[in-house]
Amino acid sequence: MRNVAIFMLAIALASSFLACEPPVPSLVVANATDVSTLDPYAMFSRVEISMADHVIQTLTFLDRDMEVVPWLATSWQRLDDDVTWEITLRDSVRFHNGEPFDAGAVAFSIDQVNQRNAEGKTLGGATVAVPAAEITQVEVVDDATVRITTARPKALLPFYLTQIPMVAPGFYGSASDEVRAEQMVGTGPYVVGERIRDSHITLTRNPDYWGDAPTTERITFRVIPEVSTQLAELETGGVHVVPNLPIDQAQILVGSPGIRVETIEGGRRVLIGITTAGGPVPLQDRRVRQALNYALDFDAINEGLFGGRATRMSHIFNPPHAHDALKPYPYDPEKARTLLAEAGYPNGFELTSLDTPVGKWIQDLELAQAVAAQLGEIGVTFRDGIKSFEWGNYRSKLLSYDLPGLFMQASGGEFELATEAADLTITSPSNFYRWEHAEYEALWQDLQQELDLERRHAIGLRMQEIVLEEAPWIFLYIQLDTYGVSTAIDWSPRMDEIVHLWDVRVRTKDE
Amino acid sequence: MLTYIAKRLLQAVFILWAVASISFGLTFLAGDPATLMIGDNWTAEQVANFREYMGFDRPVLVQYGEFLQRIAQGDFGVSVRQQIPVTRLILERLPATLELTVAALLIIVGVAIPVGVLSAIRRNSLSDRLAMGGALLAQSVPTFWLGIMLILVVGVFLQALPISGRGTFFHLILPAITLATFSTARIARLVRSSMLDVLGNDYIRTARAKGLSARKVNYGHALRNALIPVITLLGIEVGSLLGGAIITETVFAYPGIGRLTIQAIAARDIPLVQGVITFGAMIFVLVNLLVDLSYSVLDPRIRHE
Repeated sequence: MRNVAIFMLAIALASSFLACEPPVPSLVVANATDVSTLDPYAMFSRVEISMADHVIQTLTFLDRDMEVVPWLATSWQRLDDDVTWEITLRDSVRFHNGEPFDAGAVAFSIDQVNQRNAEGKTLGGATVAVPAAEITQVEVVDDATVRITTARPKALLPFYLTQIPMVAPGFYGSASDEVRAEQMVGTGPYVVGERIRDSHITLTRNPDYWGDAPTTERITFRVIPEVSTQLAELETGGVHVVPNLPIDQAQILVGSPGIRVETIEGGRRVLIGITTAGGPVPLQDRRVRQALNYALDFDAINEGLFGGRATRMSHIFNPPHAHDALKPYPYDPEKARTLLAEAGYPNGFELTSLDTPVGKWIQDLELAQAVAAQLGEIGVTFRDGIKSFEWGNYRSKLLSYDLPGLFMQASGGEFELATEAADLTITSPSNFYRWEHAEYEALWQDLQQELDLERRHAIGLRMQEIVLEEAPWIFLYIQLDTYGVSTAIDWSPRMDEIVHLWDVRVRTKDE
Repeated sequence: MLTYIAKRLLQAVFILWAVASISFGLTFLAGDPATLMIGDNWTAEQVANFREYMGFDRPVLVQYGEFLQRIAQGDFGVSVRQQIPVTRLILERLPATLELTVAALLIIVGVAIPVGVLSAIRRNSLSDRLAMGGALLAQSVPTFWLGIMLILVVGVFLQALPISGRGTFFHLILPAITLATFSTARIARLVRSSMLDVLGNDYIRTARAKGLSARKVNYGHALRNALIPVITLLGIEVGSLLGGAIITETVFAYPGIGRLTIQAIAARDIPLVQGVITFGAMIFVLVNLLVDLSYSVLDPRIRHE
């Protein structure tokens, strides 16, 4: 009995100790994975880039609408030769260690990425961006001006610059790989305070920040691999933001006191790819492909599998180039049957199978089953039913074009027109649909030449109209990104899954 | 005794060589390691440069030779993703893992031995049945579920202890209980049956006949002899605990060696994977050697010749 009393006392003491902790102006994010390194050029996951953006900055920046806006650069313009860009830098910015940020730092940073690539240290986002931008030369004009030359005219240079962090030459140039992995010197609103690998990184406010002072004193990125544990911490106020929640877990949270669920249409779209050439004959007919789209009762699937939270895909490319005026295919089984009859298949036809990975996209297998059942309504059946694969095997099937007529796929993830549009050109290795369309190819050629942003946008819109009309896919939905958020903070997610917290407001108790 | 130790050490070297070789072989079994490690958007030139940087372009036998030479000197290379020497990453996790192991071990020994002994002495009594029923239950509960239940009840509902992470003494309680539950039950059952075996022996009857108190018979004679199989099992438990408690560490976001293993595998960080596997084997071999040596201390009849 005495032992029980002591135990209760211990628990009471412990809880009062925890309860007395004063509210601190500090934000905590729970990520499932750790930031592996603090070397900005070796980072590539969304978790790493989210953290890094608070500390180290780039010349340009993608705002909430995925438009390229100034950051460490204040303006940029293309010179008459079409391959040289003159970039004006922000004045009197200093790195955390006191080094000035100037044109020399820009040249140094881009040169570092090239060097890493040459040495084979290629495991980072920036090491992809520099070759993609085909930067051949960086010329220092004066302290506040650089000229960047590309191998070919590159309308996207300002976009690629959003992916190349600016490092401090004095620090980075003399640091070993090990030091670079453990120290981060940038120009951002926060500096790295404490870091314990696989536990947390705490950022503290940079008092000399060049821009608006950040709203909270500290931000901690914690590593909590297990979703149930993340939610338990969210419920008890231990963390404020939990990114990447599975949709079923998010539904459990709805109505929990102190927690709200934020969802946003992300940059990935889930679809069923159609082999439009070299596969089953009926699928080579556009009318048949349209019929498959009309046969789909997406609302029913949405209710059944996603709690009504998903939206059917209409636009093909991500914002800012999404074609918002396009309407998704409506559910119209009569029209589907008419189109099939016109194509010569009044009673439908049989395919071998519908292939899908398991666990790659939310409820992928169930989704494939629901689609197959609905296609059965218009007489499109599968001899071997649904075939499901583990993702690694499925990916090799995709890469070797070992696909049946219909197969689950996804597109997107990038917020840039040219990279997205490329996937549907006939020469692209990602064109799993073997879809070829003369006007689309011609538009793609135009897009290569065109440097005017408005005209590029117009080309992108037309491309999306063609894809919707030609239906190389059964258009399913735009993936929703779901976040658990404490009601104590004002924060809303971005569509590119990057978490920025420097302007988050922590609500006072009375709000 | 010394010959025995020398023989065992030689065996240990052989085992470590075998484990290291397997971990090296696994690297190549899964296909071209360079393509596995880097993403989709890289150019062919970048993949080629990376392959050269990692040394994957050289003949496998040359790589194997260098690998053995390096690990013989305790150098597991540098983690590809974290850019930190693997040995440092492992040593960094050691205090967390040791802390959790010691805490779990205290619970295991502190609960299992008294419960097992009492159950054996009061065989078939109500307390014996309750204890053994409880042990069966504790053995059947999945670690993962138990951890989450403790978080929900103690952490969320009672708000009595921290839910996850490492830091204070309080952070250690829930993971240690979760980690210890299965082993505690297993060892309590072993102690009980081992005690029962010993209590039936002639020398126990002799001890009783010469008028020793029940306490002296049970604890001085029976328990000491019953502990030998228990020590063996405890050794195995400690060995595997030190190798990292993957599930418990994941549920409680506890940064020990188990999490490092998961991270290494998830990131396909080949030097780190090879390092944690070989390190785990090393600990296991070492702990088992210590256990074997401890037999002669417990039972002077056992001599390692």
